[in-house]
Amino acid sequence: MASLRLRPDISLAVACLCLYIASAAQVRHPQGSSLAIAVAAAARPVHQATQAALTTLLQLREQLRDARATRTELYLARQEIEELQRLNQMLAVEVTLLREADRLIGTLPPTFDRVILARIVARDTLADHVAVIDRGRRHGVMPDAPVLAAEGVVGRVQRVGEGVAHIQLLSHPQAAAAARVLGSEQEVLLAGGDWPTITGLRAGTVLAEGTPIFTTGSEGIYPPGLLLGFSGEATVESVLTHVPVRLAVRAAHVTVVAVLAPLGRERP
Amino acid sequence: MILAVAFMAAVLAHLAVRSVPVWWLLGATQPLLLVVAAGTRRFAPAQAGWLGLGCGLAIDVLCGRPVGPGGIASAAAGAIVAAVVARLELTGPLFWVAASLLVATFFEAFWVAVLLTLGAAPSHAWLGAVATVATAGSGGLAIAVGERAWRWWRSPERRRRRALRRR
Repeated sequence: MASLRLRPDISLAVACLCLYIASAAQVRHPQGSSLAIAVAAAARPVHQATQAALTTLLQLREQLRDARATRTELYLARQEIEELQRLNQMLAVEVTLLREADRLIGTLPPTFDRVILARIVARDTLADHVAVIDRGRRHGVMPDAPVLAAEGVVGRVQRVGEGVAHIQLLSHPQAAAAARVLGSEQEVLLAGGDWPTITGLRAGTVLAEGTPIFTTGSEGIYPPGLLLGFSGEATVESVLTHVPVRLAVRAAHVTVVAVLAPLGRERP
Repeated sequence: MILAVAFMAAVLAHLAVRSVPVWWLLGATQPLLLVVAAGTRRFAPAQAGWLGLGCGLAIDVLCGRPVGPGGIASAAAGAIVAAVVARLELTGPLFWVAASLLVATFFEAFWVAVLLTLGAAPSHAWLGAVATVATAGSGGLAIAVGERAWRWWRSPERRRRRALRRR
């Protein structure tokens, strides 16, 4: 059995301390006993420190909550910024296309009152020489309708879908158009292909390089007077003169086109 | 045993001097301090402190004061005076006079100090403290005289003189 054995002097000091505390509890003041006053005075800093610690903890928790909310808002704001940047890019593209369309409309002769503006959404200018526009039957596009750009003739509508249409470019091997050279009344044939040429010029015809070539409309597709391209250096083969043509429209760079109503047809 | 008897006698003396109208100087007498002074010669400082603690608590109870300050003061006085007595090897009348004066002085000093730290006002001023010290010293002196008389009365020398006188 354990026994507690204290030295007399230490136990005397402990007893005196206990007596002192008991005396403090007996001495009365208007504010209470001396012991109560001492305990209150000693506990005040502890109470204040505890209050401060609790307040700090609560503030820290609140700040952490605010930080989480701020991070969430930051994440949403970044997402919104990305979305706005994407929209901004799309709007910038749209504005560019609209300006190009405006420029295109400005260049069209006033006789073309039924024009469908379309955007080229796909193209193959190397192998198939076709382009796809975002307008189709639903929008009034019909086969064999001439397709123009601001610089000149692009081609004709080959196939029409519900919402899209395929354009046969002038660089297509099977493309052809009746043409005339500026300053000459003779009608020639512009044949498409990788190297478009005009044939049918009489031998001995003097043709300066860079002479504009226009449509005549006699093939029944293109209205007369539209720019097809510019002549290159002519070569004479027997009685005919072959002239390479630099097309006025570089199909690889066109983004907006105007689809006209086919000649001799009414728009549905 | 002797101390227990002395303690009871001191309690009775304390009650006696406060129950009848006496001269104010005698009213300041603390007979229990003489018991503490007596214990300083017999005990080590710690034991003397315990004796002083008991006597001081009795003083507080008998005087109707808050119980504790008197015990603390008396315990400290007893321990200190016991150490002083052992150090100076005080004996005889000098012990009684010096020990009672020192015990009373330390008791009053520690008692006032404890009360001041507690924020309480002492029941008497410095004149009362001086009266307590003086009466304690007087009591010590009286005890020393009585002890000397008792020893003389019971000394072999006196016994032999009485025997020679009867022849």
